[in-house]
Amino acid sequence: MKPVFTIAQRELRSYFASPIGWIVMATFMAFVGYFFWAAIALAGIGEMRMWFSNTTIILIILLPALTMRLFAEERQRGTIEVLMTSPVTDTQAVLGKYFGALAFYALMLVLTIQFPVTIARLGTPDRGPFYSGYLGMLLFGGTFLAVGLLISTMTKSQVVAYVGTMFVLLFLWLLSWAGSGDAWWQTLLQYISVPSHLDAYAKGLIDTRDLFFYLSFIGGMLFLTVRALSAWKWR
Amino acid sequence: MVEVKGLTKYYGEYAAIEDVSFRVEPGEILGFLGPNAAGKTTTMRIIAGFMPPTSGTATVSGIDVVRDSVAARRKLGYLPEQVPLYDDMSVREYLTFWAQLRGVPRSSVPTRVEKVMNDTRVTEYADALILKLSKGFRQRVGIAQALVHDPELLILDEPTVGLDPRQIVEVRELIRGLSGAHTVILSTHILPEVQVVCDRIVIINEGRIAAIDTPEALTARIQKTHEVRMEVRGPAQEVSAALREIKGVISVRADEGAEGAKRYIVEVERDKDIREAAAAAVVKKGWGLRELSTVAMSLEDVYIQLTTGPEGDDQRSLGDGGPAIPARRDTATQDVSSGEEVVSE
Repeated sequence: MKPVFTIAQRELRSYFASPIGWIVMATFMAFVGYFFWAAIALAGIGEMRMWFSNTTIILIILLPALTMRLFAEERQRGTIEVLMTSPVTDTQAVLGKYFGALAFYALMLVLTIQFPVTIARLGTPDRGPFYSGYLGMLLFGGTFLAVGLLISTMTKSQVVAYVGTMFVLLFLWLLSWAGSGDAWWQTLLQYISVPSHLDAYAKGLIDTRDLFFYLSFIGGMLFLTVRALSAWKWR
Repeated sequence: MVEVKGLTKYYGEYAAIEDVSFRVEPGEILGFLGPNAAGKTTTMRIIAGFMPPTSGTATVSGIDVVRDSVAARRKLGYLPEQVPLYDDMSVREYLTFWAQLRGVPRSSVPTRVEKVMNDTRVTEYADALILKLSKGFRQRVGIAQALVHDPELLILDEPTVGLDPRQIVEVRELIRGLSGAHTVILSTHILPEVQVVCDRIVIINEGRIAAIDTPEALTARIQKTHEVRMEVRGPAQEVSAALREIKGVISVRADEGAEGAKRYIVEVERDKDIREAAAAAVVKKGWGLRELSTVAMSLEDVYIQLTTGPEGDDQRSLGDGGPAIPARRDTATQDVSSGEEVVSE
């Protein structure tokens, strides 16, 4: 587990040492701040539900920028050769990178805690949906990061990794539209679309089926990433 | 320390290396010499555990690099051809990261990092971002990275590429200084490098091993004959005839010399020394002997012989005792610092 921590720590620090981390953080805060202001001041909605679902759209654009460099940059710089010849298993390397990105994203979410705190000061809202909503956001973003990590192993180019990840995330998001119906295939689409599982969390509901979906989605993506990394070496 | 047996690696249909076998003894510096695309990098990557071979085995301290990859990797430090640096870290952060990742005990990480920065002489830039370093310093930080956990085996892929002559000498001294305590495998296509640095040489060409031996033995093995160069003032025909009569002389070639003297290249059987006899013969006739020296065949000649196909030109192939090789030069004039003597492709 120690190598995972060492790699995650380096990744996290690297976000702060490069402009990309700050750009993602600043853009995120600007947009989510606007969403919050629009909801509270313009529409007078004293809850976070709308804010959570708006924020997911920004994540489609911003999270690929966090994951694009994870493996693509290592491949392009040649550092992957040293990483993979250090006493670190492929799984440890993948987990280290994943948790590094996840930690940065979690930090982004922590900075938004001012919003529910503001609402709580203005009135006496039910706090449950805040907690569950944040858990949902963490899992939701976690799936996006796992997709981005996988795509980052497939190319040397960070631009390709970014664009590719964004398209896949957009596709996963749009699946929920086609899934709005009662036919069996629509139910299936609804199930595999990532955002559809977020609604319950935003409402204050922690459904084990949704939790299972997110965790197995993340686990599956990380497994594929490990396989992709090994396959790349074997080729 | 390292044992490689029948290593073969295919990239699709293309065989990068075929049936490569050799051993590296503990404390030895082994030079991997060959033209570009000969399979040097592929072999080193396999030993370093970066990718598995198609067939064959490689062991580091008896540990199989495929079956027990992580354990084998603990024993080694690797510097790839493309120097692997994280530009957004400082030198100290970078080396600390690798030391931690490779299991240096937490309490001794700072000491190890200090020591390795000292050894590779990058201490003055310890807190500078790697992004800002010059090519020479980047290379040294790369070597420091491979050394930071004090591995038994060091694998260095073209460690002096892109350095200026003074830096090349420094890096070679650094590598030389590692022998004994560390086992080193280094690759290069620069001939003086292996001659100066390595205890043994593996010459690899088109994915196959062409020769393995010490630099001296390699030169001697191929060299069926050696040459004596003489400059004599006297009638050319008679001088040639007189030299030819000496026992052990195979042939005599005459060139123009200075001030009416002629230069003679005398080809002699390998273990014969004709210098005294030749001098006596010239002096007896009353001719003027102005120069007499032996010409050693350089490793470069050996290398070109081994890495050039027999159909290439009139160079003889290994051991058929044919005519002398045209490209021939004196080893004594081979300057260590003239690093960029690239003989490749």
